[in-house]
Amino acid sequence: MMLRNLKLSIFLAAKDMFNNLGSLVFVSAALGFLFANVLFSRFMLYGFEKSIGGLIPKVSGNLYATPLRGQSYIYDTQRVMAAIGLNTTIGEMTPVLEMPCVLEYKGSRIVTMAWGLEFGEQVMDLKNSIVEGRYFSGPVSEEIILGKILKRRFKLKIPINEDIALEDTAKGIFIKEYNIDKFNKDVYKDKYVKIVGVADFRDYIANNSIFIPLQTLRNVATLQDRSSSVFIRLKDDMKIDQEGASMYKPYNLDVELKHWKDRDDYGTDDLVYGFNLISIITFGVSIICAAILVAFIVFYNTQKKRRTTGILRAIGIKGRIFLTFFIIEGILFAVIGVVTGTGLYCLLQMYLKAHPIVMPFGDLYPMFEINSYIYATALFLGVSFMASVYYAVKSGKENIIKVIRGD
Amino acid sequence: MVKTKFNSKNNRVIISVKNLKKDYHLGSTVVRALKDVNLEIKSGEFSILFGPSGSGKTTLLNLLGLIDVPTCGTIALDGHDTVLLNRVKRAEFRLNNIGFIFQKYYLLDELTALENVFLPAVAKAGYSSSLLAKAEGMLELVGMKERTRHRPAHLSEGEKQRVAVARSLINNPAILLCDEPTASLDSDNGRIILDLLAKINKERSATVFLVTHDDRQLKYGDKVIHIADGMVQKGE
Repeated sequence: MMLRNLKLSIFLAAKDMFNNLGSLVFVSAALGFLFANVLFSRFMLYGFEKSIGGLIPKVSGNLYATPLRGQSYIYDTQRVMAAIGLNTTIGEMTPVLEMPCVLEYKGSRIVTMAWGLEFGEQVMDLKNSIVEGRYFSGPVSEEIILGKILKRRFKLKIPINEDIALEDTAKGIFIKEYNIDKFNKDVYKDKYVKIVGVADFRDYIANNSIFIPLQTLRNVATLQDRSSSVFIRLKDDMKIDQEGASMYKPYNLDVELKHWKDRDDYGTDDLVYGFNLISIITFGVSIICAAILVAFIVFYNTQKKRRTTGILRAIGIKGRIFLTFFIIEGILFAVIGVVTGTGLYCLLQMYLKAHPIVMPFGDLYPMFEINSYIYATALFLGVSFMASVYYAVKSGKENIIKVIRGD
Repeated sequence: MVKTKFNSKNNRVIISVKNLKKDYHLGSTVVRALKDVNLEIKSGEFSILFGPSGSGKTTLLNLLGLIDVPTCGTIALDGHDTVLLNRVKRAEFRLNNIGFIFQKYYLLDELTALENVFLPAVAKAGYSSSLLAKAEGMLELVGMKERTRHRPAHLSEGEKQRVAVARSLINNPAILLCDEPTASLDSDNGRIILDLLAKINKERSATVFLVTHDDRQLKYGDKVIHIADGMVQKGE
């Protein structure tokens, strides 16, 4: 009996669809684009999130010492390091001199930060973060290493047929004081430096900077023994939170001890979290819109067949046959929408993977994520099923005479 | 008060209606479409329910066809009290025992004439080649043998009604209900349909209950039931 009903429902659905191929193509296209849009909105943001997420910082140590508010430098770096070093939980320390800088190369200029790092330091561990080229040849070498993102930004700035070649020379204009006085030549210090490598710290700020040997930068800026901060790495088994950082403050010295998170408090973690949230909200909204549209299409389909339903009921055909008939059609709409949409999305992803959107922080293209795909597919099918059942049951309860008359 | 013109095939009462009332509610207004209708139809009779527009003919027919439910009263079809049947049972009863011919044919546009005819049979017994042959036989009976593969859009009005007649007969119903089947047809096609119904009545011993407001059709009936203002007036 059930098989007979199912066969009859399939027969009716097939006949109906075959006779309404135009509408079917239109509905499939609409649902396909809708599904592709749902996937694209989620997966593009997912790709973005992953791209940014690749920047989760691995730079520096756990703590850093910084001058007190209002001061530009730690003047007695060695004394500060000696005092902090008394704490037995500290593994490595390194002084860092940070300075705004304009880098000029192949006729283009870009504003960045220069980080003067000690030759061979192991806190930032620049030597092991090099992804192209080489490390500095010596502690006073006039060489720079570009952060990965800065290199990309520069590449987008220089003429299109040019490339950034390692071992090329660039001009660095180092800005010694934040209070820039254009008549005071002491503020600007020019230096020709050789680009020797590219480093990836997976940190947006660090990857947007240049690195130069500390002594070279001190020589250029005539800032001997000064540093902007001291980066501190605790011993491997040590973990402290942001509140605990101040405990390391050396007695009677004019510095502050901060947790690395303080430095990165507008950083990648928050950005990733923000984009993840946007992605989920966008996905949620588009999936709700899709569900409403699917339900509407099913509703339209059942309304269009009100007369058919009435005739079938009038000749004595049971409700479960046209219920199955509507479910088959509704599910078929959803399946066609999912298949078409997946196809469209795949084409788009293939194209964007071959021609990604080039952003300073990385290449941007949609990334497939199975859970969202399953949710979207299940929702499409589920909504179609429920809407079909709802409207079929509803139409099954309508007055036959009114329905066949079209009242 | 019902009187038969001639005694038909047997005396078994196939339609028995008692104290039947049907009210429609239009906002706060109650329209009494049928007021205490009583009638009996015997098996194999060709009965005609005759009355002017708005007299309650179609309402009564819809109640007999179980596509509407009465406000009160009883309808026994072939000995079964149908008033208490639920929606599913009513559909089942309709499929197995009642053939319905509508004024507007109500064929499914997406199906061919043959498919329209065998649809109720497939719903009743499942698909089989013998049913297909039976459906073709029905179409042959109504003179539509050459038009089996045509869709309703490609059939004339008279042809559509003949297909509807074939559809109503496919499950060998005990009762054939006809709701002004010639109202949408010209006089020639109308006559063809009525002759066909008369032939079916005689040859297949089907009980035909026809509703009309056209007094030229009264000659076809074994029994004529007059209805006006929702009340059965007289029979002849």
